[in-house]
Amino acid sequence: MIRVVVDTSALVSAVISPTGPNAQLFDFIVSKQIRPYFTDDVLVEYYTVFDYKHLKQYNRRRVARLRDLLEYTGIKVKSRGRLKISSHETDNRIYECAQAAKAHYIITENTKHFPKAHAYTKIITARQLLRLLEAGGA
Amino acid sequence: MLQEVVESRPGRLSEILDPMSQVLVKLQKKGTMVLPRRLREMAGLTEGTLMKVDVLEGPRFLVTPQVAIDRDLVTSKPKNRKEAFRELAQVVAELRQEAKEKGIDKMTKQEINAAVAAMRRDLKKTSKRSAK
Repeated sequence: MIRVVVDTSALVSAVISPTGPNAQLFDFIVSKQIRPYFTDDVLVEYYTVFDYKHLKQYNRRRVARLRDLLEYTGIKVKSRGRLKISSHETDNRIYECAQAAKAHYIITENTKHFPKAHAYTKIITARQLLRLLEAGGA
Repeated sequence: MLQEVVESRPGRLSEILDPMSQVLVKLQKKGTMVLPRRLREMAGLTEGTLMKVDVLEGPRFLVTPQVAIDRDLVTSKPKNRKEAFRELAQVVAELRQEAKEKGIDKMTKQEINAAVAAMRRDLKKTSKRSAK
């Protein structure tokens, strides 16, 4: 099973449109080929982002249900302490989650925000991961 | 304040409120406001009651008592993981449909990133404040 930490931007892309690599990535999660990991900090982001811009038009009950189901189907881990890898402080929460989960990949739309791989965790876009899965190299 | 509400929405509230149900209260520290016992009893409010505050035009406030219920009663937990995955797929499909109906699916990558950046800025501020 591939362990991933899904950056909030990738999650949002996956739920707003049924097309595109992030949407496909979500299908892999549902089919249990990829297992998402998260910490409390990451879950807070998943929920809070729906308070911003056009996303706040979503039905809150449905968004809360998404959060509950993600929590139920994924694996929650506890951060082992603060990391300082990215210059964007809040992006370090994603790194911390990846470290605690021993994740294979951080999936993000903003590879610039995640300047380097950490331990066994590579930084990758959904499109790149899908290519790897197709090639059987993930 | 209640008088103002009556004036602004005569058709809906004037029938409910009589002069006896009006009172002038003083806003205290940190926005605390005490509703006199007479009014609380009249509305059947007890300590701990959740109150929804709507901001009307003016600005004026409409305060309505709420009932809190256990989340599990509304959104029951799936029986097992298999069901949870099925439900997850369904919720995501519903969210995508809602996005299409409300035009949320037109958000560009830049707009998504801007929303995430704004959210992180605010979370950072909140965590700094709570650390102090």
